[in-house]
Order: sequence, then structure tokens, then C-alpha cells
Amino acid sequence: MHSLFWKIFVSFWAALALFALATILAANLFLEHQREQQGEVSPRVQLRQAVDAARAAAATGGVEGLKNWLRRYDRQELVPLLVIDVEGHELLGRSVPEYVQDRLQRSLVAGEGRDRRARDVTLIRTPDGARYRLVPDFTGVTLQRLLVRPRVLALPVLVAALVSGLVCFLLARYLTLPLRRLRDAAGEYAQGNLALRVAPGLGDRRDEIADLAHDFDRMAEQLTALLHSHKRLLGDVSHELRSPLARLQVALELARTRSDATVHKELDRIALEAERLNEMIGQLLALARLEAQDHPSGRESVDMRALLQGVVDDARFEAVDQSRRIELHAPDALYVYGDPRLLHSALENILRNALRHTAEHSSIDIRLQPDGERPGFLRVDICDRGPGVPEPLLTALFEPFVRADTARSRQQGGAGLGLAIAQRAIRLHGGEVRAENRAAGGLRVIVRLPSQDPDRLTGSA
Amino acid sequence: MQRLSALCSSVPELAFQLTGIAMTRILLADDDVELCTMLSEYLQAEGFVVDTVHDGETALARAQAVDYDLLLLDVMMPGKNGFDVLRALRPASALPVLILTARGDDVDSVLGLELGADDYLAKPSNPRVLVARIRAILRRAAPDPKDAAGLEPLRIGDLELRPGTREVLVGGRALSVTSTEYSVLEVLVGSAGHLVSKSDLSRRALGRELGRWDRGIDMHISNLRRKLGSFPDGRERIKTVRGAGYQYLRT
Repeated sequence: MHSLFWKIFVSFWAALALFALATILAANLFLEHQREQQGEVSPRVQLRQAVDAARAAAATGGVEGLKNWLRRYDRQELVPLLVIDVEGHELLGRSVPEYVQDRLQRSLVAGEGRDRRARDVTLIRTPDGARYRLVPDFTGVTLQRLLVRPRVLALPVLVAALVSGLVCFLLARYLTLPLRRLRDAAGEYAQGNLALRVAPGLGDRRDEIADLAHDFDRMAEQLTALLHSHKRLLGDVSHELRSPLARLQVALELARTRSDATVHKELDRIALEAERLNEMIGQLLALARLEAQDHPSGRESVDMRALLQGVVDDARFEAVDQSRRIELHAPDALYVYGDPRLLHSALENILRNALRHTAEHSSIDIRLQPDGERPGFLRVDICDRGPGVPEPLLTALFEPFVRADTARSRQQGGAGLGLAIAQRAIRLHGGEVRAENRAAGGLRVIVRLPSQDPDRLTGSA
Repeated sequence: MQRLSALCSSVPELAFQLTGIAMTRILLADDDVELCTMLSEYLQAEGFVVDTVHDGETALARAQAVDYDLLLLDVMMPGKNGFDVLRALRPASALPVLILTARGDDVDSVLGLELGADDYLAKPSNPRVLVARIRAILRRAAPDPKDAAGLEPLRIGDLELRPGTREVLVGGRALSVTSTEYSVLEVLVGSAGHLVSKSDLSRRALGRELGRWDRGIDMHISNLRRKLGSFPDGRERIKTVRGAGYQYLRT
């Protein structure tokens, strides 16, 4: 019985059987009801009661009173009563079966009360003198009438419907509830949160869905392990690369002391490449560390204007050599509660990227302002005057090793890690970064960060 | 000379006797054997006598047994790592220690300085930078006797600095401070009552420019505060001026 197959099979079967049983019971009840009525009150007495009621209705309300009474009676009772005027028309316009007409004819001929069967026909007079005969039509009892008149059948059918409905509702819920949990978990996984587990929430359930939940959890564990080992691999490899690099640097310096001037150019080149390698490994490690973090460590109030000024001052050394200007517009003092080193490196990486791509003798504009679209946020726009980036690459730009590859950017160094580091660092602060091509040419990188209420600054340096 | 050095590194005591006081002796502790070989070769070419060890236990034993001028200590070693060695060494020994940390891992450098290292250098770095750092530490640890001889002890309140022996006394009681901590304190006390910026402190006490995220000075100050204690009236001796620098308060 732990198998879902058997659960569905048995529940459906039980519900159907229950409904059939209840229907049979209802029919049985109805028959008993009929028999009891016949036992206690004979149909003749019943009819007489009906006739009395009809007469009373006719006496007080005339033809309209009689019609109303007849409609009410017909709605409730199983056996229809026909009320027929002298011309043989039924009062409610129903057709009159032949055998009734036949009987009426006979009673008219035989005179009232003589014929045995004609005694069922009863005369009713309205105050204005119209005469009607009242005839029960036993052939008019149909299944439709039986179903439409709920007095007898209502309760058992209602109970059957409710019970089978309840069974089906519970079954449906039993089936879909864990499915919803699974869907929620899948959604969480898609968001990158692999910590959620489904099976513990299902109690001691043991069926296909529980198996699926366990498989789901195993999958999440595998993914976590894989992701973890991927991150660790990145970190470990970078770390291991450092030992040979350290040896290379010492060997290089040893070679320098022992060499003559003829090879100095080549040695300088080796030193430069070793330094690039060192920088790249440093970036890889920084990225690996950022991936492993879920919130910035060492938070404080960071004056973004001062921070940007520092970033710009550092970068201007390079920019001046290359005849590229950097303009900083930061009219407002804006603060972010975060790790100043991470924020510095994020903005520095974005600025370096802009410097690499902007045209010679052009300027890079950096603007710091409150974010007009999102209250409580600030935005930093970094605009260069370079070739821009092909549209499909705009989002991929922030993935490691992705470059809008021009031969020039490769020559100018950069492993395509700077923007990835920037994005991780900004996300860690609850912000976001995106890039767009400017209408006037060049790339605009927009950084949004939650800004700190100036009244609640802590320990700003 | 080459053969002498090789002999020296295998028999430290002998090396000490042979080379005399003029040679600066460095103990290099790093588990990368090949790196040690090349680095000691490079340092020997720079005029140092270098012994190499490849694990923490040996490093500690050797550092305690032999009178070195400087310990070049890699943080990442199997078994006893660099921090364990440093912890066991201080405060009994004032041996100047330069720790080599993994690049970018500033937690390591902060911890190392907290444990009493004189300075740190990220690995891998250019060996020329390493030599510059070593010389800066050695200058602080053993200033030219000609300079130090003429100097009078520096007294301010209950604090006394003796430049000749690089000793610090508070209320007549000698403290064990590293030579770098001594240098930092010397600069602060020299301008007691005045603010000294962090970049000034770095230049004058450590002999190098302050890096953007350099926590070195902060860590040395924090060690000094702990060792000096507060003034008898309970006030801090060294005041922090946020974003500006430090100040030794006059009593």
C-alpha cells in the first residue's frame, strides 16, 4: 500500500463504489418511503387531501389560486395531477394522455360516483363557476421527475456526493502537495539556492513521490558537491600555480644577476609576463573567494564619492600616459554600507575596462547620483567612448573569461576577469551591474547599490 | 665563498664562528625545497648567510637554538605552520620575523602581524622586493652602532625608550617588543602630542610607502597598545584619529 499506484487505484475504486452504493441506498430509501406512505395513508386519502387543498385554493384565489397551488404541488410530488376544464384543456397547458381523456369521457357518461375508476376524477369549482376535474396521471411518473424532485432522494445523494468529493479532494491534495514542494525546490535550485531539501518535509511517507523527493535531494547534494568542487578547483589550481610562479620569479632574478646586457630585453619580457600571470592568478583567487562568500565581510559606511575619487586618482596615472581623460561628476555625498576593498576593486575593474576600450584622446565619464528608478539605491554610470559591445554579449560580459574580443584588448592585457569580479562584488552588496551601448557610441556600465541613510552612518573613515 | 656558504648552511654553528658578526644570518623556512634552494642562492648573492628548513618543527627548533638575525617564515607549511611557529617563538624571542603569505589573503597577514611578525610579504613577489623588506627590518633591528651610540634614552612620562638596545620600559619595567614595534613607537613618541599620519608612520618606521589596504601599521599599533597598557589614570596612550593617523598623548 505504499505505492502511489495502489493508493490512486484503491482511492478511486473506493470512491466509485461508495457513490454507487449510496445511489442504490437512495433508491432503496425512496421505495421504502413510497411503501410507507402507501401503508400509512392510502393513495385515495392522499388524493382526497390534494383535492381538498385544491378546492380551498380555488375558493380563495379563483383560477389563479388554483394554478399557483397546482404549480407548487407539481414541483413537490412525484405523481402529477392534471386539472382539466370542461373543454378538455389542462390548466397548466400540459397534454392530457389518452387514457385520462378516456376515463373522463366515461365518468361524464356514467355520472359522478358511479364508475369505480371514475371516482378518482374529482370536481372542483371556482367562485366564478368554472368547473375543473382533477385526475392523477400515474403514467406521468418519469425518472426525470424523480431526479428533479429532491424531497426523497436529496439526502443520500448529497451525502454520497460529499463523501466521494471529500475522498477525491484529499487524494488530489495528497498527490499535489508534495509536487508543489518539489516545484518550489526546483525553483529555489534554479535561483541558485541548493540548500533546500524536500524529503524531510514529507514525514514518513513512502511512495513514488517520496522516492522522487529523495532523488531530488540527492541531485541537490550532487550539484552542491559539484559546484563546490568546481569553485575549489578554481581556487586550488590558482593556488598551486603560484608555487612554480614564485620559483620562476626567483630564477629570473638569478638569471638577471648572471647575465650580460644582451638578454636584458628578453628577461624584462619574461618578468612582465610573469607579473601578468601573477595578476591573473590573483584575480582568479579573488573570484573564487567572492563565489564562496554570501555576504561581504568587514562592513562599514563607505563614502562612495571619496572611494570613486581614490579609484580615479589611481587610474589617472595610466590614463594620462595614454592621453585618456577621466571626468568624475559626484555632486552628492552618498554612502554604501559595505566592504570598501571590494567596492573599490569592483569600480576599479570597471574603470580599467573602460580605459582599455575608450578611444585615444577621449574621456571617460563617471557619474555618481541617487538612483531615480529605485528609491534607496544609488547608481554609478561609467561611460567610455570606445567601440561598444555587440548586443548579444552585453549580459555575457560579466562572465569569467568573456571578452568582446578585439585583438587590441588582448594586447592590452586583462584576462576577462575584471568585470566578473566586479559583478560578484556588487551582487554581494545587494546591488546589480549591467552594460548597455550608448546612442552616441561607446559602452555605459551602470552599477546600482543600496545606499545608506546618511543619518545612520557608522564608523565612516 | 660558494663552498663556504654551502658548508655554512649545513653546519650553522660552524658558519657562525667562521663568518663572524659581519655576516647577516637568515633562517628560511618554506616547504618548497626547490624554491628554497634558488632563494637562498639569490640571498647569498645579496650577501646573506642562509639556512633553509622545510617544516615548522625544525624551523622552531633551529630558531631557538641558533642566534639568527632574521626568520623568513612561509605561512603555509605542513604540520606546524608559520603561525604555530610564530606563536611558540613569541614573546620569549625578539627575533625579527618576515612572514610570507599567500597573495591576496589579508587575513593571513593580519593574523601574522598580530602574532608579532615584523612585516609580511605576499608570495609570489619579486625577490628584489623581498631583499628590500629584509634590509628594512634588519636596519630597524640593528641600527648602525655609530648612530645609536650617541643617542640619549627618550623619556616621556613613565615611558622610556633606549635607542642603543632598542628597549622599551614602562615604569621601569622592560617590555618585550619587536624591533618593528619599537620603530613605530619611536616615531610616535618622537612627535608625542602631535598627529602622525599612517603614510608618515609607514615611511619612517617601516621604510616603505603605505599600500592602499595595508593593515601593517594598524596591527603594530594594536600590539603596542596591548603591551604598553593605558596611562596610570586609565586613558589610552595612543589615540586613533580616524582616517588621519595616530597620536601618542602627552601626560
